[in-house]
Amino acid sequence: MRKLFVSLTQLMFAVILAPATAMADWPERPITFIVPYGPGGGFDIYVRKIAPEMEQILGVEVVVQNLPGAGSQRGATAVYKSEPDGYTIGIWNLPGIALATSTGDSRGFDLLDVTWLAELSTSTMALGVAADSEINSLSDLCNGSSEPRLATTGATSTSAVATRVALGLANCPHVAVHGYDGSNDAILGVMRGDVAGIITPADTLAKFVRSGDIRLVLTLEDMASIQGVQSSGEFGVPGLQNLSIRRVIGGPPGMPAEIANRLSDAIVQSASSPAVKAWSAETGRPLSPAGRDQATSTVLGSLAFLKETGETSGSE
Amino acid sequence: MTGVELLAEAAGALLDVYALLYLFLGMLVGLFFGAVPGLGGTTALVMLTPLTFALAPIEAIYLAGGVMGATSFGGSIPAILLNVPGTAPNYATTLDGHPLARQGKAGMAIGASAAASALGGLFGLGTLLLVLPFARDLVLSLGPAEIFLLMVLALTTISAALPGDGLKTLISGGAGLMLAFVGSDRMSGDLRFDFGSEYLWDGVPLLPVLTGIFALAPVLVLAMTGRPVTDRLSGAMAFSDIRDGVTSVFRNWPVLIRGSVIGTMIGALPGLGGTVASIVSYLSARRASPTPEIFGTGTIIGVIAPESANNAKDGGSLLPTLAFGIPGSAETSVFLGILILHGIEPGPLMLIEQQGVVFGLIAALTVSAVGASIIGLLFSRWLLKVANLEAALIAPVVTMIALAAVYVSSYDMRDVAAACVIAVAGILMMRHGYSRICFVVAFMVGPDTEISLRQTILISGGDPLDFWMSRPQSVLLILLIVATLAILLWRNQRLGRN
Repeated sequence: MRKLFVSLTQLMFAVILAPATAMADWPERPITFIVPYGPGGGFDIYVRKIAPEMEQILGVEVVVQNLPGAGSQRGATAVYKSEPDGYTIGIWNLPGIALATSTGDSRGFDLLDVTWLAELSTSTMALGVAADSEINSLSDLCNGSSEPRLATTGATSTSAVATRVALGLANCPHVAVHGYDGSNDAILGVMRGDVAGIITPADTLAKFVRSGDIRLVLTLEDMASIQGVQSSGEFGVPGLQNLSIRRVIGGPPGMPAEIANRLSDAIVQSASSPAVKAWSAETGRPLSPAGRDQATSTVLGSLAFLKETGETSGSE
Repeated sequence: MTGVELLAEAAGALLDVYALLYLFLGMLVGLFFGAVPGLGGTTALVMLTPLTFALAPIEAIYLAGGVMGATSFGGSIPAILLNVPGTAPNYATTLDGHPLARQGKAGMAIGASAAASALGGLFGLGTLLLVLPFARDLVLSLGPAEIFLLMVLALTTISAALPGDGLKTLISGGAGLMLAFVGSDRMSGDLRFDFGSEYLWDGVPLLPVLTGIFALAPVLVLAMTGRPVTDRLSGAMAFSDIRDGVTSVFRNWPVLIRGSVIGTMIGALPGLGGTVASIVSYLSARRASPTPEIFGTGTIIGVIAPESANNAKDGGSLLPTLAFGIPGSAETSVFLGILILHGIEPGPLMLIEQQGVVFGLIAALTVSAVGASIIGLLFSRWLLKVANLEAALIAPVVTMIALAAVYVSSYDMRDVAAACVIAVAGILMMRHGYSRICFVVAFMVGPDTEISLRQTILISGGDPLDFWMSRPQSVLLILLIVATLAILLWRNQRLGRN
């Protein structure tokens, strides 16, 4: 009987301590960091920049894996369905992924269940026009002789939805010319005169502003952050900062809190390292690393705003 | 400083021991990744990216330039020896390269491929240097209206070049276009012909289509005939074979020039890249030939035309990349990523603010285009050992390598299944005389043709004809299309009379 009691006690301790031991040992093998887009793009570059820093902090290899397809849903589904052991994480595009999920039924994941780990950056959207354009404000754009044409990459792209929502709330009828092959190609469309303007991240427009080809006339945010450029809040359309592109990092549902916290700390620390900060300053790529609470709040805010504007039914 | 002075300075910088070391390393990696089916230059650059963190930006550019200049020639080696192209743009090389190898002329085909690649690459880069001062205006003059007309021109050129039953050619092209329209519509976001499968949301992937049509179908057709799968390949490669191959390129200089011009022009259009360039070049060579019937049976012109275009496109594809930071291909997209990771932001100011980067890359690509061919030829004696494989082994080996290549490109077994389904379609097309080339080209240019036409209609306010007529560059392209059609009709009439 005593032997049985000892065995049962040992078994009980083994069961209780097993996860704790596993957590104490974590990480003991490489971590896979999934990018749901092809190599070379904006999301891929951020991940490849912080991965070496994370390796130094966590002491294991961080393997970047590109899984493009289905408007980033293929990569997102791979992260969502992986084991919640902290060895698979991914970067998510908000509000893009929330929009992508609203276009089909076979989404295979629920954004509310994802273990949100950190936020890397926010790119404010802005309206840009050709440098020699006669448009100097949103009023000029909307009150021309004909409906203005605006360039976007695709009907479900973040840029297209920002255009639709922002100009819709400003009561500005317009024609969206979709189908440009990436943001830079769409900006060329503005420079060529194909269209009157484009709504896309201000940091993407920045190099064209610096070269004197593009002029900013509006930023989609409540308080103006660029000198001499009106914000949509000042124009009388509040809340459009929710259309900003957020680079958020998350893992599968049910990840143990201790592992999620360690991952979150490692990501924030990596993105705050002097090397990454210097790179951000050199290239003009925005960087605002924040932990789990901020990431979760961003996701919830983004979903709520899109639901309010009728762009998605939310992630139910 | 002028462009020539800047290039001379960049070439001088390449004489540094470390610069040469990184360039040489890049060339070796490029040759290897080009020669292993399914890997290619994009994979090589992705795998090298973390290693470049330890290098200075210019050293990373030498390494990447070495890779980018070498993959095309590397990819032609398995295309010739095994009928499996190393990279997608080498598909057209299989059409005559492999028949040459089966006739025991593998050395000659590889020699011609090396020389055509090197000279085509130099032509493309030379053209790039000449038009670089006007790159901005050139890129800005090509809007959706012109892209649509260029696509129509490409389709017209191909149909004008194809022999055989006109109706079957048309049906092949139509089938290619139908397959191209599968997936999410970029304009509206609507899903088309997806049959409820998430796999088809992004359309039918390119590599399974190319592999099924050009690699698996011919091998399986040969296997089904009951004859030996292929003749025994000649393993011996004399120096004279290679020399003959190299000199054949100089003897056929009009083919080289035409291929290089086509490659440079198509390379400058984002999205099309080397595969369309090499096929259009191959078909143009066939159209211009007095003996088009020998194409496909093992003519050296059928190797020179696609390989020169394939390497010349590198120069062309750098135009939008250097002028505006728009990648002309998947490879240049990763290259731009490497630049950004090193703190260099590509964009409209790169030509002004980052001249060291621009000319360093051009110098590296120039050395790599020539160097890779020389290194490839030095190693080709060993590479040709593969030709000693027993003929009976070739079919299963080719099938296995081709399907493995499809798998490693995406790690998705559905791509492998798609390649098998397309292979069955390819077999049916071969047996019943339908054009596989027309099918593939229509499949590749279909999406851009559709999108650019719909964009033109939107931009012109519903009146594209007036819009085209108001743009001189559009009028020029319309005249070229009309001229191509006139040549086609004239040739058909002449053939009818004969």
